[in-house]
Amino acid sequence: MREPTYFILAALQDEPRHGYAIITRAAELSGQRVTLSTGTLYQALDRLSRDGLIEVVRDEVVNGRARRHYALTPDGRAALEAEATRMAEAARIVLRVRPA
Amino acid sequence: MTPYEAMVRLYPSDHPRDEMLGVLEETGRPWHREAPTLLLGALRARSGGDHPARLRWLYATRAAALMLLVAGATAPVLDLRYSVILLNDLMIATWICAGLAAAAVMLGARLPALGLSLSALLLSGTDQTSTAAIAAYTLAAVLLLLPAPTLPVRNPLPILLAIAWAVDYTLPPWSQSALMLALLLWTLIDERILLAAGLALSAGLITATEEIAQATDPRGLLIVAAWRLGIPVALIAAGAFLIHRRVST
Repeated sequence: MREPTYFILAALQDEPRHGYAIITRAAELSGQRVTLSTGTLYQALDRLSRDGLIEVVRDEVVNGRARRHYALTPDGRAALEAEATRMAEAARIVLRVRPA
Repeated sequence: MTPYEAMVRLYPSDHPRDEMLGVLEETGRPWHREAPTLLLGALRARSGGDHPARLRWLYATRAAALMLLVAGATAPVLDLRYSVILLNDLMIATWICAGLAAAAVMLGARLPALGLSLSALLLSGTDQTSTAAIAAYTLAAVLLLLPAPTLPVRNPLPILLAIAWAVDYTLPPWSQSALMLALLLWTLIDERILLAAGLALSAGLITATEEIAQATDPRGLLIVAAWRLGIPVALIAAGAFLIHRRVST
């Protein structure tokens, strides 16, 4: 899983969020390392929706603009947790042999 | 209309354009930071960006068939120009079949395209006008055997590449370079044409049997093998890698 995808899914693990909230939460979770552009975000959201990892759960209009809220599906949550486990195991290999 | 509004309008109408505009306004980033990915995203969405891997491969086979039909029809033109062969009714009939088959591929009508490709193959085989044309029609017919949903090919790049491929040594070098550059740039948006080019160039393997038979030294044989096998394999491998990357999360 690519890093931007990982942080997009991670941004949705607590609650559904709209596009701008996903950008800010992904930046916050990654320590400002992943700063998604709007074009990148919506390409990723399209792909993740098509793969059934996220879904639109609410539509609203704010300041005259349409706004959709995205949430993780059970498959999306499972994919995120599997990736987190994989990375944790990979990190453990390095960190357990670190010299004191 | 603001620059952002203009860029967002490039996306198909079923995209959340209004929502994207809202995000762009909220982020308030400089125009130059957002523009490249917005443009890329819009072009990808317009060129069937949401197709899964299987359909991307099948589209590439259709685009390759289009390239082969155009290349097959163009191949005898040079022979005619240099009076190696003379224009006859059979050749005109072959062109009509190949042209109609190419139009059918562009419209996504696979079975008519397959029938017309087979007709072009039979006619060109009867006339024995050009080994390259026969090889091209043969592979086009084989690729059109693959069943798939309606996949129209409405991109002019395969046609231009096929003409350039068929008449390569009569084209000025700048136009060949421009087409190669166009292919590389288009690959950023849609990798399927790169894959199609690899599949279409595989027709060279059929003509290579004749070239290998004529090769008199091992070095010549090696060059033929590298040219006829290496380039299609490299293009297909690059296209397959990019498709995998494109559809993976």
